[in-house]
Amino acid sequence: MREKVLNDPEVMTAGNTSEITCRTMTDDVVRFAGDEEQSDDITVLVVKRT
Amino acid sequence: MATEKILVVDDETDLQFVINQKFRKQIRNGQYEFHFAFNGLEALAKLIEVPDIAVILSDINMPEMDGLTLLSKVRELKNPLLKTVICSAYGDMENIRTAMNRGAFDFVTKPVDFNDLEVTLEKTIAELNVVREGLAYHDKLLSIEHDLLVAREIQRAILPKRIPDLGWADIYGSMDAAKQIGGDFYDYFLMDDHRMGFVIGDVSGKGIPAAIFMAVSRTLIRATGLKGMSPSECMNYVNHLLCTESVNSMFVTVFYGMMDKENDTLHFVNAGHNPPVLLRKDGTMEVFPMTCNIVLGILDGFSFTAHSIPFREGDVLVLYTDGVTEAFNSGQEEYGFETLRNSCGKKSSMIRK
Repeated sequence: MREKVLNDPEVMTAGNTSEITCRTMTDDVVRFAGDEEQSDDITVLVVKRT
Repeated sequence: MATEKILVVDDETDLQFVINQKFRKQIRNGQYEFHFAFNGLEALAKLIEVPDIAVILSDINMPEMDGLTLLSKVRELKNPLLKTVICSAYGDMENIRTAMNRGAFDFVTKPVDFNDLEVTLEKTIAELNVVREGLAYHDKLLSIEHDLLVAREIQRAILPKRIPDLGWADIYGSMDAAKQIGGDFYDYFLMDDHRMGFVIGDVSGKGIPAAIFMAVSRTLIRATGLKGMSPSECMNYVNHLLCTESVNSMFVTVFYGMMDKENDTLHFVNAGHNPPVLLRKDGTMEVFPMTCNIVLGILDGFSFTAHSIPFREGDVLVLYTDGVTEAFNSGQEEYGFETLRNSCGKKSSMIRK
């Protein structure tokens, strides 16, 4: 199974909400897919107006 | 034709003369080169002295080190490019079976029928050539794998890193490639002090062609976007270039946006890409409607239509490729757009902080 990206302390404390959102969303998909072979690239881009 | 080196191991001293006589034609035309040893120990020394010996033709009963022990030692070398043919008497079947079990490729019987020996050597060398071909392919595959790893690093390197805190925009992207290299990309860049361009794209196909087309698409969009063109002008121009350069009918879906802090507006073109999700500061969620645009790279001269929406402080735009919505689990269930939207909804409160 691919490495999970969630709960990276450095990210979660960085205060960068776009990065947290991006990485947790990617992790959602990775967790959902489990051991199933990934057939396509998983790409997420989050843009926040601050 | 390469010369095959054959090591004959036998304590019969006259065998060297007979071999050289019987195979004189092959020796003369450079097909075979014979080396000789009188027992297993000498044979091992010869293997060190002449490392590219391809075939050992060995007797079993010899002084100092017999042929079966030699076989065991040769097997320890784990050299796939070295085959051993045992040469032994008819009545020595038990030894011959032992030899085969220790890795002998074949055996010939004594007294030696040289026609049979010639056929056996040709068959052994043909087998070696198959092994050599396999190893060559293996080496090529290793080389390709290495190249792909380098390409992966290059591809990662061209994706943007974190940009400095602008005070008015917070942007982050990630690409998790299914293979060593992918066909997805994202990018973002500052056009001036109040406008930021960003793009997410997905190239048709997979593998090296997709990766190259991805790099071309990303570079063209960035170079064009940095000129300060409007999103529609940018897409029109990039589409023209991609149509001109495209091979194998490759195309790319793209969402290209230009965020303008001066008037809190997002100008964008969606060229056949998955509809992004917009999370408003007030907690509402909007899904971008499909537009009448097409993908880039298939129809030169197409005029792309841009749209503009308010994009104010606290608003968040979530863009993704179809690898997200079309991910499957072991139960063959699709992640799907609804799951993505629900996931965005759950994160909405956190994002708005």
